[in-house]
Amino acid sequence: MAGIGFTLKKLFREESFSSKGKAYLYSAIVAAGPWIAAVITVNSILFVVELSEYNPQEKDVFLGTIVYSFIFSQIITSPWQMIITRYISDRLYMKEYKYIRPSFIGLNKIVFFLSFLIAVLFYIFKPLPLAYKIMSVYLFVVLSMIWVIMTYLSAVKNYELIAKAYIYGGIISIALAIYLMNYPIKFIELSYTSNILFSYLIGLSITYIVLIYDFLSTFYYGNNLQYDFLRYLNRFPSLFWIGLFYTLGLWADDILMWLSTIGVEVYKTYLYAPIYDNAVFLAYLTTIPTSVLFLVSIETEFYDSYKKYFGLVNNFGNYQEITLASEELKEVLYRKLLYTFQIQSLISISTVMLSTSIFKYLNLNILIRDIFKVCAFGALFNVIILIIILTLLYFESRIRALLVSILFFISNIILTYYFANKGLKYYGYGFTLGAFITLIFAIINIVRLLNGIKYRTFAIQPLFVEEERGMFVKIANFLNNRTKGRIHRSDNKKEKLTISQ
Amino acid sequence: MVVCIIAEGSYPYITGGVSAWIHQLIQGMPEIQFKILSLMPSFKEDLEYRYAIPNNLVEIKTIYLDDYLKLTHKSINKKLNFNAFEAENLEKFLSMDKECDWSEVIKLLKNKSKIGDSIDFLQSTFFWDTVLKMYYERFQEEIFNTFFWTIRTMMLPFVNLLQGYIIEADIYHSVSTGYAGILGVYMRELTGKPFLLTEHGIYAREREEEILKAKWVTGVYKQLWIDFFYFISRAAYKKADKIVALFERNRNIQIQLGAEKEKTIVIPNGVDLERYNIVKEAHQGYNVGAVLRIVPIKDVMTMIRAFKIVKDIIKTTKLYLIGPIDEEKDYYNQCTELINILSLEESVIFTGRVDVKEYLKIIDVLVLTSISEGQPLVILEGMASKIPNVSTDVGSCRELLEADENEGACGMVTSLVSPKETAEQIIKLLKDNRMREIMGYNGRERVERNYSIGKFINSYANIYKELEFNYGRDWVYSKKVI
Repeated sequence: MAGIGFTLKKLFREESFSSKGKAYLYSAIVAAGPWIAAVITVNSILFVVELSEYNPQEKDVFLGTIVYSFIFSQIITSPWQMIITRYISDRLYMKEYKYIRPSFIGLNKIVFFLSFLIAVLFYIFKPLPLAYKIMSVYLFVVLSMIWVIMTYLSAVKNYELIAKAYIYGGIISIALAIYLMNYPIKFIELSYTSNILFSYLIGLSITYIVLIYDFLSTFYYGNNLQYDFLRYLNRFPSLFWIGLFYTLGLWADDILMWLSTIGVEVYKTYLYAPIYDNAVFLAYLTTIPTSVLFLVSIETEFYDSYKKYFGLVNNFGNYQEITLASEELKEVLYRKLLYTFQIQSLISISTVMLSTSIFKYLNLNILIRDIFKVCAFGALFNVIILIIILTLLYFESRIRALLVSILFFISNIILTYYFANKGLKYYGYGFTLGAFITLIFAIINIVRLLNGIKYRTFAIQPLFVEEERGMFVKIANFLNNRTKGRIHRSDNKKEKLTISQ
Repeated sequence: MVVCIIAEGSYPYITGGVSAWIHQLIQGMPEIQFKILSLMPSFKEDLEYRYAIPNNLVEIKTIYLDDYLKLTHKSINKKLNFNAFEAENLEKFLSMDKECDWSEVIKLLKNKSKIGDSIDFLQSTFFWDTVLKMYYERFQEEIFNTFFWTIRTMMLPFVNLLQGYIIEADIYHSVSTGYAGILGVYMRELTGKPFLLTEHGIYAREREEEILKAKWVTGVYKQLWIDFFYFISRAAYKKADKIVALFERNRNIQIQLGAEKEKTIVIPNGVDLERYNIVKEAHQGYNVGAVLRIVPIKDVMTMIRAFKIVKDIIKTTKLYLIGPIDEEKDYYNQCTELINILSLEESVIFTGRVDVKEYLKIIDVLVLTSISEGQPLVILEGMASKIPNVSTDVGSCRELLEADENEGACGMVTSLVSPKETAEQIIKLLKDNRMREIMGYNGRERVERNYSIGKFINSYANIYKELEFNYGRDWVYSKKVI
């Protein structure tokens, strides 16, 4: 008799959970690398060359170029970083290694054209000398591409080589700067600035070459599907927006402050607020130890309990075992978060207390110190927010992560704008208060997520694999097919050749 | 009058007993308009109608068990809120409780503003909590992941089915329980129109046998799936206005499984007597025939082995396997392999899809070795063609073939999967011309008396009328149901 029963087995499929969270974390921490390197290198260059004669306005041009390049290259690349991090970790998980290299080339093409276009549009009508404009565009493009490659290298985890690349690059920049101070290249205008920018560019290029060599020698094989990753824009659009809003949120207060009364315009090109920027910059520096600390603790104890939990979920755990493992996971995570928070608070409070003497020693503006005192706490909240966002992504709760990053962006804008009008005394309050509100919201989210962790792990899993839909999937498919078609055609050609021979 | 026939995995795409039966029914009642709701396991673009569509078949709507694939997962799930009464009903439904109130459940599941789509429902905290409760009650020691996915896999196509369109008709007529049965219940509950159930076999039993043998499901989950099919079959028995079995034995099983005795009735299959007034053609040697699809349930292997024994004794015998060979290619290949091993290539003939009548002219004995049957039309057709049958004791074959108070025997009944027994009966028949003739005659007599198409069509025409009349009388009541 006819019936459907026989075919039921086809509906019966196993689902597996995979751990992708770690990748987000690595890429976030590794991304701090260029920042630290840049701060050290740029300050060293400035410190070294200060010994020689200089023009203070020229130094401001140099700083403006660096700050703008860093901030805006990060804003345009961070959404892509999020997408590509997920794409890479999925491909590695599926052991589809040959997709990695082409996606790198594809993404680089996109980022190259995007950054090149933005830089050219920005500089084209600015009253800077042509040589300087070319170097600035070059800097912006290289920095954007460095962000991209750092994401890829975080998957490879060759930290030693990454560190070496920055150290060598930095040393070469500084050495070249010293040399050029004595034997400068003859630029017609902005000679001093052009020379230090030139030396910084050379060092940075060398860093990039080492990094790209490392990457290409690790992933020396690949297919032709360069734009395959575009489908992830449809699959995980939230990742793109998380990256964008978090980074915009990070810099929103700076950009607003540039427009405020303390904004300074240099060469009709860069509008920035040296007092505020410096303070925020220094505040961020205080959070570096915590980030590393958290990375280490995630790597060890947390990851073990995470693996244990998902191992039971995936394989042979009964509900009781799974519940025990989830309690343990929660306990470890809360403990690590609290611990990180305590350590960072300790660091922040001590730096704030010591700031008077430190700033005096470094001979820094007292205004910067006052803003720093406030922003140090903002940075403290901010680093915990980032950790929570990454943890939310660990558990595939992209919606919550997105909400947190949007709130971060919006609260920072509104509060910075509100406090900016209240006068100098309140600078930094907008950012800090915005970060605080977001932190509370983030904590509520992580607690809610972890309370429903078993429900989330099982019940929210998709019931079936959906067919991929959307514009970017179509684009990716179209480009994939086109390249495949091309391979075919070239194959045919080869065949013909062999026949005619 | 419009009758909507609800069929699962058959008409008009798959040929076989049930499909032929539906086709016969539709053709037999040109004054009634028919609609077909055909439920197929999974979406295929190249499904073809296997029957010439009669003029009074006005609509064919095909739905697929995997139609849920058209749904999309949302990033933020719908919040579902149920009051205590609704929650209790849904819990009984999900835990496959005998007391499940199908009227309430169907109305609730259909209400998308309450339930969302099947994804919303199966991802909801309500579903999660209910599944946990079930787990704690009966499955505590089991691997939770497997348990959870089994329930999900079971419920996803099912819940999705219960959110489908309503097809307008005056009578809903399911030709099995199972998914088709539940669709009948669904239509009845939502339109208030009568629901007629015809069962060719016993659906839940067939699924049970299948699941016990299946490799894709193991351990306690076999029982869970079996429970599921009994659960949905009981719903059809409970809600059907009239339940038809093809023969007495099945009717009793239906009653055992929960059908009210007063609602049950037996209507056997019918054969077109004119069509099978076949003039035999003289031929060399002996021809044994089988009208079947080459599929495992027909146990063609046993038939080939039996034929080997026959062939060894009566050298001039040939075996005609009449029917499509392309439904399960693997099984067909296994059969040809066996034929090669037994070196029967010369004497076993696969005809493929052909006009069966042409072959019946030269067949001396018809054989059936099925593992499971309802009331096989092929036996009735053989009887009408005055050909004696050798058949395994499945479905109503014994009732069809053995002697009763009206006629003598018209064939032999054998044990399942017994090549030796089947062969013995074939040999006995082939060696005895007179017995073949008498049995052939008896067969024709019996078909004319009890299994004519006229009688079959009349019985259904009466049931349809009766259901429509009762519906008219209960008009006020039915409106309330809506």
